[in-house]
Amino acid sequence: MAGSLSWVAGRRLWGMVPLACRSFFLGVPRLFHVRVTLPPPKVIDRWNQKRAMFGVYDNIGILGNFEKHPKELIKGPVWLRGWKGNELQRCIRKKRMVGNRMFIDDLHNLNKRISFLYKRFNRHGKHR
Amino acid sequence: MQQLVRAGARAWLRPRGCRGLSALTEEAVQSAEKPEPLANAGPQAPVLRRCELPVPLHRRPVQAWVESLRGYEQERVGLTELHPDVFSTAPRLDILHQVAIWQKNFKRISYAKTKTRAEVRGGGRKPWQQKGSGRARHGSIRSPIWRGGGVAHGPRGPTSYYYMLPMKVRVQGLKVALTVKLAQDDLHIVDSLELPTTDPQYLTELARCRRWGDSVLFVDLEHEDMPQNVVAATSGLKTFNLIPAIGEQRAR
Repeated sequence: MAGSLSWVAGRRLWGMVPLACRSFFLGVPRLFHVRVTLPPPKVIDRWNQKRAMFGVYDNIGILGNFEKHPKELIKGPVWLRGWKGNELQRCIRKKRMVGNRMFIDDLHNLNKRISFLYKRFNRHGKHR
Repeated sequence: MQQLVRAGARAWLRPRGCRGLSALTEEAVQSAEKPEPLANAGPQAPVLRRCELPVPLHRRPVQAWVESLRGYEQERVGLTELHPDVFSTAPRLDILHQVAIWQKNFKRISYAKTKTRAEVRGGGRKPWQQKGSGRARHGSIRSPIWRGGGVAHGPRGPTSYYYMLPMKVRVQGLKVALTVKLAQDDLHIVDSLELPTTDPQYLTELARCRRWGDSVLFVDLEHEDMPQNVVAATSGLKTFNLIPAIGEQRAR
């Protein structure tokens, strides 16, 4: 609850005055989780397979006589490969492409979301 | 970070007539017509290559040493001329930045998703009557101000960040990368990627001896059959990587 500051009126509540009025080096009550030691440094391998081979084949079109387009390299959901849209466009595209094999509850939620976003974008706000 | 570009004995020709790109990219066409250096001859003939594609009259080709990976001391085995439109363009760092950011982002699909108040289980009934109970009025227990309720404006579903830069911008990015690498002495042209041994230690020793730096990228210009020794040696090392020319990434 963020309302503790509003209770500072009474004298008996000085114990609940927050940290700004006490020096940090007096100690910190254990309720406020403050770290006094550094965590162990996390070891990052800058040359693992993914990082070493990042960006390879991104220019496969230019260098490879345009047999493939870089968007064909993207791995992800079918309705999002090589395509970008706002949320309503994504929902509509998902429904068109995979709607017939979604779970019933998920399809129902998707339909609700589409109708909500349609009304939101086309009837409210500055841009209609 | 260094790049070694191998010129193969066989021609590496990519017919570009279909898209009319012959004026745009002749990069890394270190192909053909270079005489194979004679093995076991005493002082070997230098490997020379002229630029095949027409060079504009007001510019001259850039020259670079050809090295060899067969021995520790075989630097400066020959000389090659490189097309100025590819290897000495303007150092457009802004284009390089655009291409770098594009490469990072266009493949990105973020899978973050939160449930809205409509998707969270429950919350169809009004928790208590509108008036009379003394509590604040609420319509459902899953509204965003409730604990356990839905998120109002959270990430929604897998989002894609795909976009394409114009092809000419990407091409220029490749040219600028090659220019910058050559100008900063990080590009080494090699007559062939054949190594005398399969030992990864040979490569690290070679890199240390010729002062290439911590990481080296080997780019193979020929078709797909790379010599076994290089494949075996680079597969054992993390910072030495081998890619075909199609996969040539802009400067790492």
